[in-house]
Formats: sequence, C-alpha cells, structure tokens
Amino acid sequence: MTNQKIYEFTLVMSGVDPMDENFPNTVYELGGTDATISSRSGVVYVSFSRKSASLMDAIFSAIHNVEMANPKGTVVRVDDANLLNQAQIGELVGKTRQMVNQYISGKKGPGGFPAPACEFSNGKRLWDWSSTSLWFFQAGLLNLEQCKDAELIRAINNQLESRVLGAQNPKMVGEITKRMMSRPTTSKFPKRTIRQRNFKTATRPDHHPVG
Amino acid sequence: MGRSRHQKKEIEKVVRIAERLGWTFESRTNHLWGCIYCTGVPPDRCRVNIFSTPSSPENHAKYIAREVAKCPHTKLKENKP
Repeated sequence: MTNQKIYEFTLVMSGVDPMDENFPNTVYELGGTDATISSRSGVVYVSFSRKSASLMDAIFSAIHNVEMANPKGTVVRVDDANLLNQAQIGELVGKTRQMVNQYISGKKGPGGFPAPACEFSNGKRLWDWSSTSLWFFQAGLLNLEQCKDAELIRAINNQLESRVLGAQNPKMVGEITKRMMSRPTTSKFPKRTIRQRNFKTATRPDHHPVG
Repeated sequence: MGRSRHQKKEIEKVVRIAERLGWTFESRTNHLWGCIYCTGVPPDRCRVNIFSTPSSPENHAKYIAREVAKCPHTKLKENKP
C-alpha cells in the first residue's frame, strides 16, 4: 500500500462560466468532493485538498476531474505561489520580510539570490518561486520536498501554457517546436566539412571571390 | 426569514463571518448547499460555491474563508504595510 498524503493546490480555469450551476455539481459527481469552486473577477478557481501518492498524481487527477466536468473548460495554470514579493517569500520559508531582503541584498546568506522575474515602474519586484525555492534549498533553509514541489508545478505550468498557446496559434507553436529541435547541440563541426573548405582541392573554377 | 444552517459547524461559522462582511447567501440544490456572493457588482463580483457534504468540511471551510479574504471588494483589516 503506497503512502498517501494530502496535497493542497488551486487550478485556474478558462472557458467556464462562473454562474454555471452544472459545473460544481458535475465536478463533485466525478470525484471532486474535495474541491472548492469559486470565482473572482470572472475567473474560476478550483481549490483541492487531494489525497494522493504524489503531488503529480494529485494535480493531474484534479485536472482530469475539472476538464471532464466541462469539456469547454481548460486548466490554464496551477495557481501556486508563481510570483511572490518579499513578504510572501518570507511566509513560505518562515522568515521575516526584512530577513528575505537581507538574503536578496547579500547581507545574509550565501549570496547569489535569483534576480526578480519582474520589476514594476514603481520599484516593486516579484520573484519566481521555483528558482527562489532552489536558492533556499541550497542555502539549507528549505527542505528538498518543497523545492521539488515548486519545480514540478513550474514544469506543469509550462506545459499547460504550451497547450493553451498551441490551441490559440498551432502554426506558430509548430514552427517554434521545429526550430528548437533543429537547433545544433554542439559547436564542433565534423572534420569532413573542414576538408571541403580546402579550396586548393576544390574542382570549381579558380575565380571565386577571395574574402 | 433566515437561511438554513449548514450541517457542518466549521462551514456554518465561515458563512456567518462572510455574511457579517456583507456577503449574501443564495440557496442551491443537488450537491450544492448554496453559494455566497460578495458586495461587488456583476460580472466582477466574487462567488464561492458551498457543497452540502464535502469530503473534508475543515478544508472546505478553510478555502471558503480564504476566498472571502482574497475578495478585492470586501473590506478587511489592513495586515500589510
């Protein structure tokens, strides 16, 4: 029997009408008895406390649950501490905002704190939790599981975003995927190519431009 | 004329707090006991759906409370500078 624990997370959805009465009932009937469905500014959120063997299993079973309940609905991301300010980082690692500020400036800790993911014109900065949690783990201030969870959620969100973009503009995404796969993975050129560049052995006429 | 009480005391407590903050309750059927709406104006107003028999009433109450706290239309005490 595998060890199971409770995982808490929130899914953000698009394509679901916040006033749709059928959606919550169908989510419940499909196994979402651990879900809390809410909407804020027209966006639907589904929060789960899901018992599972792993966070990945919990998240994907929840995604399946809500997308089966409304075929037009799509999970666009796992809403889990994506971008944080210093106070929010502090809450996650059990430190004060002032202490986090000292880690950022290098006055405390090993230094090399990740750069903010975004900076507003008023000076406010937000950090990506995945890279920030890795720094805290390496500094001995966060356990490995929390760090791995952040990395997993970031990876899942990347895939969910790709899915949305792929549906909105499949041609563009297909072209990008093709270019990524054809990108050279090494800077070394095979020796045969170098020999071909030896113009003395070339059979072409000897009036090519000298560069 | 009052609404029906939720059978789980944790959820009933959170709904009462939301009502004191100005949220309104509407009864529903089937698996939904009801839903609460914030003081905002449609379509921007917040809504939280409340199940009659959630698998974990404590967690359901916790999430309801969290959504009420996150509502941009509900006036709560300032807790951050």
